[in-house]
Amino acid sequence: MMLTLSNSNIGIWTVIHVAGEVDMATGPQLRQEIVRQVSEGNIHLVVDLRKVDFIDSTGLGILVGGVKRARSNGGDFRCSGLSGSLEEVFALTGLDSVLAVVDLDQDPSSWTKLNE
Amino acid sequence: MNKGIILEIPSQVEYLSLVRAVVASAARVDQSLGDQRIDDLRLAVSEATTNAIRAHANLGSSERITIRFGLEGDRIEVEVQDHGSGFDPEKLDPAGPLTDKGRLEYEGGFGISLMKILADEITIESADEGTTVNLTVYVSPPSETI
Repeated sequence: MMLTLSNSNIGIWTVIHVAGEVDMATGPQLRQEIVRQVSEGNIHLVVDLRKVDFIDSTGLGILVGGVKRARSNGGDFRCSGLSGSLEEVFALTGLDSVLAVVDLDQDPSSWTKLNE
Repeated sequence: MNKGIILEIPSQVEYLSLVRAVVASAARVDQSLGDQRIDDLRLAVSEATTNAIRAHANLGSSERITIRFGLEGDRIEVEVQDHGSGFDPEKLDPAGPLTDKGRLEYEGGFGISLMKILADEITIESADEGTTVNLTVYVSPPSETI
């Protein structure tokens, strides 16, 4: 199964739209995209997971790496659009304590910040 | 127990989605298992299979990985068996909460803890010739079973 990635911008934020399942097979694509965006200076990133119905520990690790990569370069990292099962996984692993979930339909000035 | 379905897959990450699809479809045969519990089982089995593929990759092994699925009475049992070099489950070093200083430096550490949370029961038997992970999800919570 392939992962489909596309980008858009909201103010200073670069949004990576993800569609498909994120696992050990497809995760490297997402990791590469995060690395590419940060290396190009797009250090404020949002990963849009609205069209993701499965994410495993590999995917969670990639998001953790994204938080670290963005912040260590002076930026920040958010995610958006968690389905019920993804929300559960975020809570179970504590990822929700370091990675804020934002609503892309709201103005970025209202987005939550966590542990920066 | 009666293992209803046996799946043997090549040790390649491309087969993970197939394993998840088979497990989720087989679990739906019992209509009393809700979608959330099926999602839990699907993720737990995917984690166990990912670890098995990783164990084979570490050895350079091309042996197949076996997944046995059984739906029996009050429970679903899934066994994931690999032929990797094994590990000591007691010596796994928990990565700690993500809020710990330095934890963000390390991307791993979620797999086995997720399996332990998502399955109602888990046993890991590991030896030099491989590892077998047994995951059990009760159709009703364990406290309601006799």
